[in-house]
Amino acid sequence: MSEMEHSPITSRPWMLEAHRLTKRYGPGCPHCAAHTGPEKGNRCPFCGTVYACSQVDFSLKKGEILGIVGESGSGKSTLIQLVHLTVPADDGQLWYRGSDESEQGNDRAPLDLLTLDTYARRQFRNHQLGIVYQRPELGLNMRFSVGGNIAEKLLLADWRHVGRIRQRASTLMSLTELPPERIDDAPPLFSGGMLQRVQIAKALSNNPALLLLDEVTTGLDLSVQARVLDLIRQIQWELKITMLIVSHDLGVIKQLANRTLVMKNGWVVEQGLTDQILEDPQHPYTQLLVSSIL
Amino acid sequence: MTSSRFEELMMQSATASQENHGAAEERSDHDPLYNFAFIDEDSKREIRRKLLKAVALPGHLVPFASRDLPIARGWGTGGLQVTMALVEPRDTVKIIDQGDDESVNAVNLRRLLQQTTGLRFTTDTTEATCIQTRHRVPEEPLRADQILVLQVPMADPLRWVEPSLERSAQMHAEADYGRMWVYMYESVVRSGDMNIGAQYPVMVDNRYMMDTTPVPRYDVPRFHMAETLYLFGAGREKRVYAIPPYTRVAPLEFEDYPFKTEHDSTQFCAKCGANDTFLTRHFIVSTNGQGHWTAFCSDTSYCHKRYEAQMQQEAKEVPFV
Amino acid sequence: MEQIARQMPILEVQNLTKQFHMHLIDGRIIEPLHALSFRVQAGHAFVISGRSGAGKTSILKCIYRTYLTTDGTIWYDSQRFGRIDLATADEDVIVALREQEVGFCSQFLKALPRIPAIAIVAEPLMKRGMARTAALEQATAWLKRLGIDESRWQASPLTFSGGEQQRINLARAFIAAPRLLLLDEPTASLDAASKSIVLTMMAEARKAGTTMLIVSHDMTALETLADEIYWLPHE
Repeated sequence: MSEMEHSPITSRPWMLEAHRLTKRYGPGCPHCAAHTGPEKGNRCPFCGTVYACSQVDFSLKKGEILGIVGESGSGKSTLIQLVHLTVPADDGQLWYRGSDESEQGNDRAPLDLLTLDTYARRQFRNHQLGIVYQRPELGLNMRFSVGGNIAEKLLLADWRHVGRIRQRASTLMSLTELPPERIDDAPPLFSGGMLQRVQIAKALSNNPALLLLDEVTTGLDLSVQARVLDLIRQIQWELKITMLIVSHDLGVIKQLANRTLVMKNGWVVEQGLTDQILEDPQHPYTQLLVSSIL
Repeated sequence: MTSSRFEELMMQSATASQENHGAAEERSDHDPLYNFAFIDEDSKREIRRKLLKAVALPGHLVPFASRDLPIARGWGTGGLQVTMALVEPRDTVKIIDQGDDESVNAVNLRRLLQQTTGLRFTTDTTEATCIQTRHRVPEEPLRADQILVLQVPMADPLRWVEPSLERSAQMHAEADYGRMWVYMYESVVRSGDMNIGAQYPVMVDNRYMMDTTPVPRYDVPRFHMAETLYLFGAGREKRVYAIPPYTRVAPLEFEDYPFKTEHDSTQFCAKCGANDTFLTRHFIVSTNGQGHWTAFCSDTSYCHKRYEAQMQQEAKEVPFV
Repeated sequence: MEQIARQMPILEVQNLTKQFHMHLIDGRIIEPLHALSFRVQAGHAFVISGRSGAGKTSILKCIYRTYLTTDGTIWYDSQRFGRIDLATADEDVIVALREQEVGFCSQFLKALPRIPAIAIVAEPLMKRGMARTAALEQATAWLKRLGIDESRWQASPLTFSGGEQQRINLARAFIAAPRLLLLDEPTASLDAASKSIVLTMMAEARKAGTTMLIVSHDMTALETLADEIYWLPHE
């Protein structure tokens, strides 16, 4: 039995692997380690340093959906920002292994994304990542048209032909069930659910390797929420795109994620298959969350 | 002022010798109440250092300490300070405002400089060593021994898309100009074609995005791989930038909407007959009270030169009777 | 050859123990399974029976990895990975097995309220890469066999009766012909006619080589089908 404990057999190679990702806000002091933790809280009472993420480990296989669930202050949004490379990590590594179709060809040597310089980081973000935020104003520019917003990522990837850009934007709008004739309308003319679709269209415009979704349905009306989630599931089905989904709502995680991470006070307290987390939660906090489903 | 003289002057700034300044003052013929070219030598030194940095980083905005002048902000103080920092007694200066040597602004600037420097002024572009201009590049091609100083109303091309100075500075630092491209896309989509008339954004040396100042699109190609040094001064915003000679300057354009100037070869100047210069339209009221729009060359001195040449030519052709 | 292969235990459970630590009620421990051991031959219909309670279903859920095993091993002879311990295997191995080899049919249909019945039945095939039209065609065949009227195929099955829901549930389980199929009370909520259809389905699957683990207390229905019956010992 001990032989098989750490089974090296895997079905697919991992695409993204995080080791001990840590993000803190504050100077840190010798007392921090003893006074912060999943149960003690994420703020050191001596120096006031907030440990938004502490030693987060996870791995993500190509084509799978990983859910991250936690309440306010759990660090889940910080984690998304760390993966999106907009916030620098204080410790840890974030290994990325590109797909076979990348420019590197067959060379799949893992790359620590946290060591990239500003320019390379931005290149990676523009070409390999897509993100959808909870609030549309974070992901979209309200003064540009919807087409312009979707085009932004393409323009960042050096597309320079207006006709082709519009065609691609139109295709993406159809994919996300938006009326393509509204391509020149400005975001304030759209409803919340539609703006989430615009964000999804924008995030997918450059065929990213990884799609990050940060509380994308929180705050939407229930029927709208259902439609957006169905759309995400459908897109995952059709495009086989790898996703990282953050939500405080276990129902959302249940619908979409194959595997789930449970976070509390910046720490991962439990991770496993989603149905296992929901039906056989091990950690007391997970049990509390599961018992709180409406 | 040649570019080698420019280099010499930069070396002098580094050492800041007082004797040089005194010698310059003695040679010139200016009002003794003021320092040569109005601003003090330390200020000139500071501006020259910043200009040096600007030349080293083509298209990059360099902040400088903009001094108080007897001219209000927004009336050319930036360009004026650049000119003041560079001119010396042997220079010949030309000042134009939208191509016109005789506009009120150009005349006022000229008077100030004349009084404080005693320099020789000219309206002939080919004779000037230093040309200060507002919103127009002269028609006659500039040489390596000349410097063009442009007045800048707003220095940062990103202000249309990013009002926050901190964020736009970061965008410049990271060459993150995506949002500006979206602005260009929107312009095409909303008006059917590229709709930016002036202050056309360009990429300098494939690194920095730069505002060309409100020169017409007609003048934008003149910046690319030019012999002359272009210096830009924004007094209100307190920034300078530069395009050194033989620098790649590429206007932002799309493959299916390439950059176009306003050139229309069917339009002619009513005075000199040219159809290959930038024309401005004036409403002329004739003696019978009727008025109509007439096009004239924007570059008045060039227009006048051509006109004079034509008159002489005609005079030669007409047999003396 | 097939005879010999059929003699190999495809599933071997050794000392399976499951405990629930209920932290929300002062850390009380509930132990539905204690040191269970049994073998399942390939291609057999293995019936697990016993008194009503959570114990029987827990076995299936431990095998399917919905529950984490507290102690013991679950050796499974997989097609893709060889002989592995399902209790400690890597999560993505489990995901791959669930997609390709191991199926689970719960006691009651769990589905999203918005998805039509035909799509629910077709889903396992599409997950395996089959084209949408082909998958829907096969789903149609199954729905017809199970006696679901064509007019209802586009409706969500949550609007159906309990028995009809269970038929949809079973169709979804059988359609992809998994190597190992775990069934939790498959005939419990069915009327006699549906029951016989389902039993025929199960017999066919068995003939085709599917190994089935069936939790049931309905022995009359299953006694003809079952190769082996395992009585869960009383506490």
